[in-house]
Amino acid sequence: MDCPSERRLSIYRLLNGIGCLILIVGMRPAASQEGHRIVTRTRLQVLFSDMENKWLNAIQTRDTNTLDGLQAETFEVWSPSVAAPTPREDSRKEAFSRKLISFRLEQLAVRAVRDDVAVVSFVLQQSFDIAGKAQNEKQFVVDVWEKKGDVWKCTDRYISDVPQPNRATNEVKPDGKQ
Amino acid sequence: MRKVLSLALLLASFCYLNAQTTRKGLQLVPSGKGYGVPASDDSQTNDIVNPYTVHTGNGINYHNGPVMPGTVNVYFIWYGNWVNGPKPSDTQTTVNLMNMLFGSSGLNGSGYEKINSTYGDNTHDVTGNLVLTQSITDSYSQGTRLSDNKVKSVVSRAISNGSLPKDTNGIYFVLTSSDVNETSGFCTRYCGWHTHATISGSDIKYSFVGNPDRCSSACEAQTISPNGDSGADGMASIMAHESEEAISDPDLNAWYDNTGQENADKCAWKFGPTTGTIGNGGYNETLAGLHWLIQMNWENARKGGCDQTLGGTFYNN
Repeated sequence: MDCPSERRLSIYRLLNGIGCLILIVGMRPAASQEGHRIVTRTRLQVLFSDMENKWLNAIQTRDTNTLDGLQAETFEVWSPSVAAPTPREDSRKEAFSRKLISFRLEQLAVRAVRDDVAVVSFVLQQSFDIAGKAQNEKQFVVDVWEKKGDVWKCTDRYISDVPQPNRATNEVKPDGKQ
Repeated sequence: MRKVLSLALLLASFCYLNAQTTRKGLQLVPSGKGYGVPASDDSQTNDIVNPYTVHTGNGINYHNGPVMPGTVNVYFIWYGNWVNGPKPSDTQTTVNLMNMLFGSSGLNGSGYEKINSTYGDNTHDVTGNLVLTQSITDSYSQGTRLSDNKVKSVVSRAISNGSLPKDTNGIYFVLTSSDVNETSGFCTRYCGWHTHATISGSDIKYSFVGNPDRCSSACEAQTISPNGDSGADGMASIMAHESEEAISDPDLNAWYDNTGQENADKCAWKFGPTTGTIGNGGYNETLAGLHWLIQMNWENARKGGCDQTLGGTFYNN
């Protein structure tokens, strides 16, 4: 059995070690990120990123006024799973029927087709609250925006699901035995 | 038991110091007696003039990496055709305008560039001095479709064949004419970028900026521009952006905020008040005797904000 002074000495060494470790970790520069790069986003990327975020925030708060400002009256949603496009009001009903907890836009790119037409593509990750359980979705979205005067409005949205990585593992691979 | 408590207190102090965003307590300043002493508390009240003090709490965070000290050397690699390329701006006029902007009486030491002097690391502050040291041309050595790796090859080739010196305190700009595409997203995702890499055994900082006339609606604030060259005037703002970031975050591990934005990212496409209107040749800076429309930069002082000159008024747009 250790005597009290030896125990204190052990505690002292332990605390001293932890303290030094924290200090060393704290002083260490963040790892240099070679191979990575930091971009200057395009003017349109900044603009449409802001509008797409406003759109999703409006879905979260069921703010139809904001959506009116972003979606043209003729707005439609096109999806490979539905034969006919979904009109604006129906698409809102569908969006409002689920509780959007969080979202994330990735790989947002904007191509200006003309001065008054832009095509915006991005990967949208959303998390919904379905009966108390979180359900995640990942979709590839292409929006067509049209500018009238100084106002941009989205006329069409094309959506397709992004295959989840684990689906690939379920695929049958040739084994050479037929 | 008292010793244990004392040590626990010491440990807590370590944690507290570690969590502090202002690291001035860990800094040494010259004592005038041949040794360094910790910076005094009252130096914290002056965010601009106190040297070698890493100030945070201004909307951007320090991550312990280095900044580029002293006068930063700028190198231009004019890639493609900058004599008579497809767009009117693919000419020597653009080359001359950028030479003036990055020459000794341009951005160098200007109130605008001095905004960057609010950034530092544990041994240096950014000075706000940068100067164009050398320019070369590269006639499509990597073709007209450049990947990120090919941009690196352009820089690497220039250094390895001796066209440009190997300079770890330099920024190498690869500037492409309008017929050259950078395939990872020029014009759709970005107008330029900066990074660093080990080239010829050294840490080299470099940047890509394409001629924005390739996609004026994406990469130019205005097509009627102060110097009558929309490509050059568009490049001016993007190159200023990249240089500020390359100097304050050369290895991508020094200064950025909690969303990953570096200083100039936080003010991208924000110009503040202008003389004249944007879209009709408006400008907000006069450098090297010429007018320019250049985005603001994030000042790391006074709680942080975008301004046009060190100590100037902060603007949201």
